[in-house]
Amino acid sequence: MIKVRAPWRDPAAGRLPRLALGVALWTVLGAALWSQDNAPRAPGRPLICAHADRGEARPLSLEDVDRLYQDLSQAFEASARRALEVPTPELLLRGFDARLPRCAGRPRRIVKLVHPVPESVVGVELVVGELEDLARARPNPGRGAYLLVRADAAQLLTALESFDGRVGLATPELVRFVGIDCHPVRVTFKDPQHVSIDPLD
Amino acid sequence: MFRSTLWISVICATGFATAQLAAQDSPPLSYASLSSVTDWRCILRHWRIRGVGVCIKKLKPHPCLKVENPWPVGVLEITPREFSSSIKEVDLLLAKMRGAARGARDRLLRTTPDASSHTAQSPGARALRFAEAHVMGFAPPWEGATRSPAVPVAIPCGARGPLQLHYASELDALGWRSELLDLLFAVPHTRVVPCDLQWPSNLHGCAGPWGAYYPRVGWATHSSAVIAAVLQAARAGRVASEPALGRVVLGPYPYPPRTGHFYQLVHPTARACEAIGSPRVLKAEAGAASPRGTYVLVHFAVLRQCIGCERCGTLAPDRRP
Repeated sequence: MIKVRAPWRDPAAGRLPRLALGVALWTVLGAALWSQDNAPRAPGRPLICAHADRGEARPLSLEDVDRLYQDLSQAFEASARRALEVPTPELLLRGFDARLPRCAGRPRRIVKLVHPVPESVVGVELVVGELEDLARARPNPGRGAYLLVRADAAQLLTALESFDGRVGLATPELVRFVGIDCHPVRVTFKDPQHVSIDPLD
Repeated sequence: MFRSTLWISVICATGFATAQLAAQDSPPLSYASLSSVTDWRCILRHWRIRGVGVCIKKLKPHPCLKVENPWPVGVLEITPREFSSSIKEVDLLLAKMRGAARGARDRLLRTTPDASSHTAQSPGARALRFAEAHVMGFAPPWEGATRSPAVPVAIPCGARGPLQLHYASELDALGWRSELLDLLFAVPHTRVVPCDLQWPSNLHGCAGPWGAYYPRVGWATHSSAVIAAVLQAARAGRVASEPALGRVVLGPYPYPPRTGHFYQLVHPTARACEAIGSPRVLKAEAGAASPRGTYVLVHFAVLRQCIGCERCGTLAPDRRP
Protein backbone atom coordinates (compact mmCIF):
# COMPACT_ATOMS: atom_id res chain seq x y z
CA MET A 1 0.00 0.00 0.00
CA ILE A 2 1.34 3.34 -0.96
CA LYS A 3 0.89 6.13 1.48
CA VAL A 4 0.39 9.56 0.03
CA ARG A 5 0.69 12.55 2.34
CA ALA A 6 -0.90 15.79 1.49
CA PRO A 7 1.81 18.46 1.27
CA TRP A 8 -0.14 20.95 3.33
CA ARG A 9 -0.14 18.34 6.13
CA ASP A 10 3.66 17.85 5.98
CA PRO A 11 5.40 19.88 8.73
CA ALA A 12 8.40 20.48 6.40
CA ALA A 13 6.14 21.87 3.75
CA GLY A 14 5.12 24.60 6.17
CA ARG A 15 8.43 26.30 5.37
CA LEU A 16 7.61 26.63 1.70
CA PRO A 17 5.68 29.89 1.85
CA ARG A 18 8.39 31.47 4.01
CA LEU A 19 11.08 30.30 1.60
CA ALA A 20 9.16 31.69 -1.34
CA LEU A 21 8.74 34.99 0.47
CA GLY A 22 12.51 35.13 1.20
CA VAL A 23 13.39 34.44 -2.45
CA ALA A 24 11.00 37.14 -3.58
CA LEU A 25 12.45 39.69 -1.13
CA TRP A 26 16.03 38.95 -2.16
CA THR A 27 15.03 39.26 -5.83
CA VAL A 28 13.47 42.66 -5.19
CA LEU A 29 16.50 43.82 -3.16
CA GLY A 30 18.93 42.60 -5.83
CA ALA A 31 16.96 44.34 -8.54
CA ALA A 32 16.93 47.56 -6.54
CA LEU A 33 20.70 47.46 -6.00
CA TRP A 34 21.28 46.59 -9.66
CA SER A 35 19.16 49.49 -10.80
CA GLN A 36 21.04 51.81 -8.36
CA ASP A 37 24.41 50.71 -9.73
CA ASN A 38 23.25 51.30 -13.30
CA ALA A 39 21.63 54.63 -12.61
CA PRO A 40 22.96 57.52 -14.72
CA ARG A 41 25.93 59.23 -12.94
CA ALA A 42 26.94 62.83 -12.86
CA PRO A 43 29.05 63.57 -15.93
CA GLY A 44 32.82 63.65 -15.38
CA ARG A 45 32.65 61.80 -12.07
CA PRO A 46 33.26 58.10 -12.69
CA LEU A 47 32.67 56.05 -9.56
CA ILE A 48 35.49 53.82 -8.49
CA CYS A 49 34.03 52.47 -5.32
CA ALA A 50 30.77 53.12 -3.50
CA HIS A 51 29.70 50.50 -1.02
CA ALA A 52 26.84 52.28 0.65
CA ASP A 53 25.77 49.40 2.83
CA ARG A 54 26.43 50.38 6.41
CA GLY A 55 28.19 53.15 8.25
CA GLU A 56 29.72 56.22 6.71
CA ALA A 57 30.62 55.74 3.05
CA ARG A 58 32.17 58.15 0.64
CA PRO A 59 32.49 57.72 -3.11
CA LEU A 60 36.03 58.04 -4.41
CA SER A 61 36.47 59.30 -7.93
CA LEU A 62 39.39 59.76 -10.28
CA GLU A 63 38.62 63.46 -10.09
CA ASP A 64 39.31 63.42 -6.34
CA VAL A 65 42.61 61.65 -6.93
CA ASP A 66 43.62 64.18 -9.58
CA ARG A 67 42.66 67.01 -7.23
CA LEU A 68 44.86 65.50 -4.52
CA TYR A 69 47.88 65.52 -6.80
CA GLN A 70 47.16 69.07 -7.95
CA ASP A 71 46.76 70.28 -4.36
CA LEU A 72 50.04 68.68 -3.39
CA SER A 73 51.93 70.09 -6.32
CA GLN A 74 50.51 73.59 -5.83
CA ALA A 75 51.17 73.57 -2.08
CA PHE A 76 54.73 72.49 -2.76
CA GLU A 77 55.29 75.23 -5.33
CA ALA A 78 53.79 77.88 -3.04
CA SER A 79 56.08 76.71 -0.24
CA ALA A 80 59.08 76.75 -2.57
CA ARG A 81 58.30 80.30 -3.70
CA ARG A 82 58.31 81.46 -0.08
CA ALA A 83 61.65 79.76 0.60
CA LEU A 84 64.07 81.94 -1.29
CA GLU A 85 67.06 80.54 0.53
CA VAL A 86 67.87 77.67 2.85
CA PRO A 87 68.15 78.91 6.44
CA THR A 88 71.62 78.68 7.97
CA PRO A 89 71.58 75.83 10.51
CA GLU A 90 71.79 76.67 14.22
CA LEU A 91 75.08 74.82 14.66
CA LEU A 92 76.78 77.13 12.16
CA LEU A 93 75.16 80.25 13.59
CA ARG A 94 75.76 79.62 17.28
CA GLY A 95 78.59 77.11 17.20
CA PHE A 96 79.10 74.13 19.48
CA ASP A 97 79.94 74.06 23.18
CA ALA A 98 80.19 70.86 25.23
CA ARG A 99 80.42 72.96 28.46
CA LEU A 100 83.33 70.96 29.84
CA PRO A 101 85.63 72.72 32.35
CA ARG A 102 89.44 72.79 32.07
CA CYS A 103 91.15 69.92 33.87
CA ALA A 104 93.47 72.14 35.95
CA GLY A 105 96.00 69.57 37.08
CA ARG A 106 93.75 66.55 37.42
CA PRO A 107 95.62 63.22 37.53
CA ARG A 108 95.40 60.34 35.07
CA ARG A 109 92.31 58.17 35.46
CA ILE A 110 91.26 54.70 34.34
CA VAL A 111 87.54 54.51 33.61
CA LYS A 112 85.44 51.38 33.18
CA LEU A 113 83.06 51.65 30.21
CA VAL A 114 79.39 50.93 30.71
CA HIS A 115 79.22 49.24 27.29
CA PRO A 116 82.34 47.36 26.11
CA VAL A 117 83.78 48.32 22.73
CA PRO A 118 84.89 45.90 19.98
CA GLU A 119 88.45 44.49 20.10
CA SER A 120 89.31 46.37 16.91
CA VAL A 121 88.97 49.65 18.79
CA VAL A 122 91.62 48.81 21.41
CA GLY A 123 94.56 51.20 20.97
CA VAL A 124 92.51 54.04 19.48
CA GLU A 125 93.29 57.50 20.88
CA LEU A 126 90.93 60.45 21.10
CA VAL A 127 92.26 63.92 21.83
CA VAL A 128 89.52 66.03 23.36
CA GLY A 129 89.91 69.79 23.66
CA GLU A 130 89.67 73.18 22.01
CA LEU A 131 91.25 73.94 18.64
CA GLU A 132 94.44 75.34 20.21
CA ASP A 133 94.80 72.27 22.46
CA LEU A 134 94.36 69.88 19.58
CA ALA A 135 97.13 71.57 17.62
CA ARG A 136 99.57 70.69 20.44
CA ALA A 137 98.56 67.04 20.71
CA ARG A 138 99.42 64.37 18.20
CA PRO A 139 97.22 61.28 18.46
CA ASN A 140 98.26 57.88 17.15
CA PRO A 141 98.42 58.42 13.36
CA GLY A 142 95.74 56.41 11.61
CA ARG A 143 94.22 55.23 14.90
CA GLY A 144 93.34 58.51 16.50
CA ALA A 145 90.90 61.36 16.22
CA TYR A 146 90.29 64.85 17.54
CA LEU A 147 87.11 65.88 19.31
CA LEU A 148 86.33 69.56 19.72
CA VAL A 149 84.69 70.73 22.93
CA ARG A 150 84.02 74.23 21.64
CA ALA A 151 83.95 75.60 18.09
CA ASP A 152 82.17 78.06 15.86
CA ALA A 153 81.66 77.36 12.17
CA ALA A 154 85.03 78.82 11.14
CA GLN A 155 86.90 76.88 13.83
CA LEU A 156 85.18 73.63 12.85
CA LEU A 157 86.10 74.12 9.18
CA THR A 158 89.65 75.09 10.11
CA ALA A 159 89.96 71.98 12.27
CA LEU A 160 88.62 69.78 9.48
CA GLU A 161 91.23 71.17 7.11
CA SER A 162 94.05 71.17 9.65
CA PHE A 163 93.59 67.65 10.97
CA ASP A 164 92.93 65.85 7.72
CA GLY A 165 89.24 65.42 8.44
CA ARG A 166 89.81 63.42 11.63
CA VAL A 167 87.69 65.81 13.67
CA GLY A 168 84.40 65.29 15.44
CA LEU A 169 82.46 67.00 18.20
CA ALA A 170 82.56 65.98 21.84
CA THR A 171 78.79 65.60 22.03
CA PRO A 172 77.19 65.08 25.47
CA GLU A 173 76.38 61.44 24.68
CA LEU A 174 79.97 60.74 23.67
CA VAL A 175 81.39 62.51 26.73
CA ARG A 176 79.10 60.45 29.01
CA PHE A 177 79.91 57.22 27.15
CA VAL A 178 83.66 57.59 27.65
CA GLY A 179 83.48 59.23 31.07
CA ILE A 180 85.20 62.52 30.25
CA ASP A 181 84.57 65.33 32.76
CA CYS A 182 87.16 67.93 31.76
CA HIS A 183 89.39 69.00 28.87
CA PRO A 184 91.94 68.87 27.29
CA VAL A 185 92.51 65.12 27.63
CA ARG A 186 93.87 62.19 25.69
CA VAL A 187 91.59 59.15 25.86
CA THR A 188 93.12 55.76 25.06
CA PHE A 189 91.11 52.55 24.75
CA LYS A 190 93.26 50.16 26.79
CA ASP A 191 90.99 47.13 26.43
CA PRO A 192 87.32 46.57 25.44
CA GLN A 193 86.16 47.68 28.89
CA HIS A 194 88.65 50.33 30.05
CA VAL A 195 89.94 53.68 28.87
CA SER A 196 92.70 55.81 30.30
CA ILE A 197 92.09 59.55 30.46
CA ASP A 198 95.28 61.63 30.57
CA PRO A 199 94.98 65.40 31.02
CA LEU A 200 97.03 67.36 28.48
CA ASP A 201 97.50 70.44 30.69
CA MET B 1 87.14 86.98 -45.51
CA PHE B 2 88.69 83.70 -44.40
CA ARG B 3 90.23 85.41 -41.38
CA SER B 4 86.93 86.96 -40.28
CA THR B 5 85.15 83.60 -40.66
CA LEU B 6 87.87 82.00 -38.57
CA TRP B 7 87.47 84.63 -35.86
CA ILE B 8 83.69 84.20 -35.80
CA SER B 9 84.15 80.43 -35.55
CA VAL B 10 86.61 80.81 -32.67
CA ILE B 11 84.33 83.22 -30.84
CA CYS B 12 81.31 80.96 -31.34
CA ALA B 13 83.23 77.89 -30.22
CA THR B 14 84.55 79.70 -27.15
CA GLY B 15 81.08 80.96 -26.30
CA PHE B 16 79.60 77.50 -26.74
CA ALA B 17 82.29 75.91 -24.58
CA THR B 18 81.81 78.57 -21.88
CA ALA B 19 78.06 78.04 -21.94
CA GLN B 20 78.59 74.28 -21.69
CA LEU B 21 80.92 74.70 -18.72
CA ALA B 22 78.52 77.11 -17.05
CA ALA B 23 75.66 74.67 -17.62
CA GLN B 24 77.73 71.88 -16.12
CA ASP B 25 78.71 73.92 -13.05
CA SER B 26 75.33 75.46 -12.33
CA PRO B 27 73.05 73.33 -10.16
CA PRO B 28 70.51 71.54 -12.36
CA LEU B 29 67.70 71.65 -9.80
CA SER B 30 66.03 74.22 -7.60
CA TYR B 31 63.64 73.74 -4.71
CA ALA B 32 60.75 74.94 -6.86
CA SER B 33 61.65 72.62 -9.73
CA LEU B 34 61.48 69.58 -7.43
CA SER B 35 57.70 69.87 -7.55
CA SER B 36 57.58 69.05 -11.24
CA VAL B 37 59.81 66.00 -10.96
CA THR B 38 58.47 64.54 -7.71
CA ASP B 39 56.45 61.37 -8.21
CA TRP B 40 53.29 62.46 -6.40
CA ARG B 41 51.54 59.31 -7.59
CA CYS B 42 53.73 57.35 -5.20
CA ILE B 43 51.46 58.46 -2.36
CA LEU B 44 48.34 56.70 -3.58
CA ARG B 45 50.11 53.94 -5.46
CA HIS B 46 51.25 52.54 -2.12
CA TRP B 47 48.30 53.79 -0.06
CA ARG B 48 46.42 51.17 1.86
CA ILE B 49 43.83 50.73 4.57
CA ARG B 50 45.11 48.93 7.64
CA GLY B 51 41.83 48.66 9.48
CA VAL B 52 39.47 50.57 11.69
CA GLY B 53 40.30 52.01 15.08
CA VAL B 54 38.44 53.71 17.88
CA CYS B 55 39.46 56.63 20.04
CA ILE B 56 37.73 58.43 22.88
CA LYS B 57 37.01 62.12 22.40
CA LYS B 58 35.05 64.01 25.05
CA LEU B 59 34.11 60.70 26.67
CA LYS B 60 32.54 59.44 23.44
CA PRO B 61 33.95 56.71 21.22
CA HIS B 62 34.89 57.82 17.71
CA PRO B 63 35.69 55.45 14.87
CA CYS B 64 38.71 56.18 12.68
CA LEU B 65 40.18 54.74 9.51
CA LYS B 66 43.74 53.47 9.80
CA VAL B 67 45.67 54.22 6.63
CA GLU B 68 49.28 53.98 5.55
CA ASN B 69 50.97 55.76 2.67
CA PRO B 70 54.33 57.18 1.59
CA TRP B 71 54.83 60.93 1.89
CA PRO B 72 57.73 63.02 0.56
CA VAL B 73 59.68 64.24 3.60
CA GLY B 74 63.15 65.09 2.36
CA VAL B 75 65.77 65.22 -0.31
CA LEU B 76 68.92 63.13 -0.11
CA GLU B 77 71.93 63.93 -2.24
CA ILE B 78 75.09 62.02 -3.05
CA THR B 79 77.90 63.85 -4.79
CA PRO B 80 81.63 63.37 -5.21
CA ARG B 81 82.20 67.16 -5.00
CA GLU B 82 82.84 68.72 -1.59
CA PHE B 83 80.63 71.61 -0.49
CA SER B 84 78.52 71.66 -3.62
CA SER B 85 74.96 70.66 -4.30
CA SER B 86 72.74 70.02 -7.30
CA ILE B 87 70.00 72.08 -5.67
CA LYS B 88 70.51 75.78 -6.18
CA GLU B 89 69.37 76.99 -2.76
CA VAL B 90 71.48 74.43 -0.91
CA ASP B 91 74.46 75.13 -3.14
CA LEU B 92 74.31 78.79 -2.08
CA LEU B 93 74.53 77.79 1.58
CA LEU B 94 77.31 75.27 0.95
CA ALA B 95 79.19 77.88 -1.08
CA LYS B 96 79.61 79.96 2.09
CA MET B 97 81.14 76.96 3.85
CA ARG B 98 83.24 76.24 0.76
CA GLY B 99 84.66 79.75 0.94
CA ALA B 100 85.46 79.42 4.63
CA ALA B 101 87.05 76.00 4.11
CA ARG B 102 89.21 77.32 1.26
CA GLY B 103 90.28 80.24 3.45
CA ALA B 104 91.28 77.82 6.19
CA ARG B 105 93.11 75.64 3.67
CA ASP B 106 95.01 78.63 2.28
CA ARG B 107 96.03 79.75 5.77
CA LEU B 108 97.15 76.20 6.53
CA LEU B 109 99.16 75.91 3.30
CA ARG B 110 100.95 79.16 4.12
CA THR B 111 102.04 77.81 7.51
CA THR B 112 102.59 74.13 6.62
CA PRO B 113 103.36 73.63 2.92
CA ASP B 114 102.86 69.85 3.07
CA ALA B 115 99.32 70.11 4.43
CA SER B 116 96.62 68.81 2.15
CA SER B 117 92.87 68.77 1.98
CA HIS B 118 91.20 66.18 4.17
CA THR B 119 91.15 62.88 2.45
CA ALA B 120 88.94 59.86 2.79
CA GLN B 121 90.41 57.10 4.92
CA SER B 122 89.62 54.00 2.97
CA PRO B 123 88.92 50.96 5.12
CA GLY B 124 90.91 48.77 2.77
CA ALA B 125 89.87 46.79 -0.25
CA ARG B 126 86.18 46.83 0.67
CA ALA B 127 85.96 50.47 -0.30
CA LEU B 128 84.54 50.70 -3.76
CA ARG B 129 82.64 53.95 -3.83
CA PHE B 130 82.85 57.10 -1.77
CA ALA B 131 80.77 60.24 -1.98
CA GLU B 132 79.71 63.17 0.12
CA ALA B 133 76.10 63.25 1.28
CA HIS B 134 73.58 65.97 2.05
CA VAL B 135 70.28 65.49 3.81
CA MET B 136 67.60 68.12 3.36
CA GLY B 137 64.24 67.96 5.01
CA PHE B 138 60.96 69.34 3.83
CA ALA B 139 57.37 68.55 4.44
CA PRO B 140 55.24 70.43 1.94
CA PRO B 141 52.21 71.81 3.75
CA TRP B 142 49.11 70.33 2.25
CA GLU B 143 46.08 72.42 3.08
CA GLY B 144 43.88 70.13 1.00
CA ALA B 145 44.30 67.44 3.64
CA THR B 146 41.96 69.33 5.94
CA ARG B 147 40.04 71.30 3.33
CA SER B 148 38.86 68.46 1.10
CA PRO B 149 39.26 65.11 2.80
CA ALA B 150 38.15 63.23 -0.30
CA VAL B 151 41.13 60.90 -0.07
CA PRO B 152 42.11 60.07 3.50
CA VAL B 153 45.92 60.11 3.53
CA ALA B 154 48.45 60.16 6.35
CA ILE B 155 50.39 63.42 6.51
CA PRO B 156 53.52 64.29 8.50
CA CYS B 157 53.36 66.16 11.80
CA GLY B 158 54.62 69.73 12.00
CA ALA B 159 54.80 70.45 8.29
CA ARG B 160 57.64 72.83 7.62
CA GLY B 161 57.70 74.76 4.41
CA PRO B 162 61.24 75.73 3.53
CA LEU B 163 63.96 73.30 2.64
CA GLN B 164 66.33 72.79 5.57
CA LEU B 165 69.84 71.36 5.52
CA HIS B 166 70.11 68.72 8.24
CA TYR B 167 73.37 67.04 7.35
CA ALA B 168 76.45 67.78 5.27
CA SER B 169 78.98 64.97 5.40
CA GLU B 170 81.83 67.42 4.72
CA LEU B 171 81.41 68.65 8.30
CA ASP B 172 81.16 65.10 9.66
CA ALA B 173 84.43 64.00 8.10
CA LEU B 174 85.50 61.75 10.98
CA GLY B 175 82.24 59.82 11.08
CA TRP B 176 81.56 59.74 7.34
CA ARG B 177 85.08 58.85 6.23
CA SER B 178 86.08 56.30 8.84
CA GLU B 179 84.17 53.59 10.67
CA LEU B 180 85.69 54.62 13.99
CA LEU B 181 82.73 56.37 15.61
CA ASP B 182 80.12 53.82 14.58
CA LEU B 183 82.44 50.99 15.63
CA LEU B 184 83.15 52.63 18.97
CA PHE B 185 79.63 53.36 19.93
CA ALA B 186 77.58 50.80 18.01
CA VAL B 187 75.51 49.28 20.78
CA PRO B 188 74.67 46.48 20.29
CA HIS B 189 77.66 45.54 18.18
CA THR B 190 75.57 43.20 16.05
CA ARG B 191 74.63 46.30 14.09
CA VAL B 192 77.93 46.08 12.24
CA VAL B 193 77.73 42.38 11.39
CA PRO B 194 77.61 41.95 7.56
CA CYS B 195 74.14 41.78 6.11
CA ASP B 196 74.74 38.64 4.09
CA LEU B 197 74.67 36.87 7.47
CA GLN B 198 71.67 38.79 8.83
CA TRP B 199 69.24 39.47 6.00
CA PRO B 200 66.28 38.93 5.97
CA SER B 201 65.96 38.65 9.77
CA ASN B 202 67.53 42.07 10.38
CA LEU B 203 65.18 44.52 8.69
CA HIS B 204 66.51 47.47 10.70
CA GLY B 205 70.20 46.99 9.99
CA CYS B 206 70.07 45.81 6.40
CA ALA B 207 68.71 47.66 3.37
CA GLY B 208 67.32 44.47 1.92
CA PRO B 209 69.87 42.66 -0.23
CA TRP B 210 71.71 45.94 -0.97
CA GLY B 211 73.91 45.88 2.13
CA ALA B 212 74.21 47.25 5.64
CA TYR B 213 73.21 50.66 6.96
CA TYR B 214 75.91 50.34 9.65
CA PRO B 215 78.58 51.54 9.93
CA ARG B 216 77.10 54.74 8.53
CA VAL B 217 80.00 55.78 6.34
CA GLY B 218 80.37 57.18 2.84
CA TRP B 219 81.90 53.98 1.54
CA ALA B 220 79.59 51.51 -0.13
CA THR B 221 80.34 48.17 -1.66
CA HIS B 222 77.96 47.42 -4.48
CA SER B 223 78.32 46.54 -8.13
CA SER B 224 75.67 49.09 -9.10
CA ALA B 225 76.61 52.77 -8.79
CA VAL B 226 72.93 53.73 -8.50
CA ILE B 227 72.15 51.31 -5.68
CA ALA B 228 75.41 52.23 -3.91
CA ALA B 229 74.33 55.88 -4.06
CA VAL B 230 70.88 55.12 -2.64
CA LEU B 231 72.45 53.07 0.15
CA GLN B 232 74.87 55.90 0.95
CA ALA B 233 71.97 58.36 0.95
CA ALA B 234 69.98 56.14 3.31
CA ARG B 235 72.96 55.94 5.65
CA ALA B 236 73.30 59.72 5.62
CA GLY B 237 69.61 60.03 6.43
CA ARG B 238 70.13 57.70 9.37
CA VAL B 239 73.10 59.71 10.63
CA ALA B 240 70.98 62.83 10.51
CA SER B 241 68.16 61.16 12.40
CA GLU B 242 70.40 59.41 14.98
CA PRO B 243 73.06 62.05 15.50
CA ALA B 244 74.39 60.97 18.89
CA LEU B 245 77.94 59.98 19.69
CA GLY B 246 80.22 62.37 17.93
CA ARG B 247 78.54 62.81 14.56
CA VAL B 248 78.31 66.41 13.34
CA VAL B 249 74.69 67.00 12.39
CA LEU B 250 73.23 70.41 11.61
CA GLY B 251 69.73 69.56 12.76
CA PRO B 252 67.91 66.32 13.51
CA TYR B 253 66.10 64.79 10.54
CA PRO B 254 62.94 63.23 11.94
CA TYR B 255 62.48 60.54 9.29
CA PRO B 256 65.23 57.89 9.27
CA PRO B 257 65.16 56.07 5.90
CA ARG B 258 63.86 52.59 6.64
CA THR B 259 63.83 49.35 4.73
CA GLY B 260 60.67 49.09 2.65
CA HIS B 261 60.05 52.84 2.68
CA PHE B 262 60.49 54.64 -0.63
CA TYR B 263 62.91 56.79 -2.60
CA GLN B 264 62.61 58.43 -5.96
CA LEU B 265 65.52 59.30 -8.18
CA VAL B 266 65.11 62.84 -9.54
CA HIS B 267 68.64 63.47 -10.80
CA PRO B 268 70.34 62.62 -13.16
CA THR B 269 67.04 61.25 -14.42
CA ALA B 270 63.55 61.32 -12.94
CA ARG B 271 62.11 57.92 -12.14
CA ALA B 272 59.08 56.52 -10.32
CA CYS B 273 59.45 55.77 -6.63
CA GLU B 274 60.93 52.46 -5.53
CA ALA B 275 61.19 50.68 -2.20
CA ILE B 276 64.45 50.97 -0.26
CA GLY B 277 66.07 47.55 -0.37
CA SER B 278 63.99 46.39 -3.32
CA PRO B 279 65.44 43.31 -4.98
CA ARG B 280 64.55 44.78 -8.39
CA VAL B 281 68.01 46.25 -8.84
CA LEU B 282 68.15 46.03 -12.62
CA LYS B 283 64.96 48.04 -13.03
CA ALA B 284 66.18 50.73 -10.64
CA GLU B 285 69.59 51.21 -12.17
CA ALA B 286 68.91 50.78 -15.88
CA GLY B 287 69.84 54.02 -17.61
CA ALA B 288 70.05 55.91 -14.32
CA ALA B 289 73.82 55.98 -13.75
CA SER B 290 75.22 59.50 -13.39
CA PRO B 291 78.40 60.23 -15.35
CA ARG B 292 79.43 62.72 -12.64
CA GLY B 293 78.46 60.49 -9.74
CA THR B 294 75.82 62.90 -8.46
CA TYR B 295 72.43 61.56 -7.43
CA VAL B 296 69.46 63.39 -5.96
CA LEU B 297 66.63 61.42 -4.38
CA VAL B 298 63.30 62.38 -2.89
CA HIS B 299 62.75 60.41 0.29
CA PHE B 300 59.21 59.13 0.86
CA ALA B 301 58.65 58.02 4.45
CA VAL B 302 55.78 55.62 5.04
CA LEU B 303 53.39 57.18 7.54
CA ARG B 304 50.55 55.63 9.49
CA GLN B 305 47.57 57.59 10.70
CA CYS B 306 44.13 56.86 12.04
CA ILE B 307 42.04 59.37 10.08
CA GLY B 308 39.39 60.86 12.31
CA CYS B 309 41.33 60.45 15.55
CA GLU B 310 44.93 61.51 14.85
CA ARG B 311 45.94 64.84 13.38
CA CYS B 312 49.06 63.53 11.66
CA GLY B 313 50.87 60.32 10.92
CA THR B 314 53.69 58.47 12.62
CA LEU B 315 56.60 56.75 10.94
CA ALA B 316 55.96 53.11 10.01
CA PRO B 317 58.60 50.55 11.06
CA ASP B 318 61.01 48.78 8.71
CA ARG B 319 59.31 46.22 6.54
CA ARG B 320 60.12 43.85 3.74
CA PRO B 321 60.46 45.72 0.47
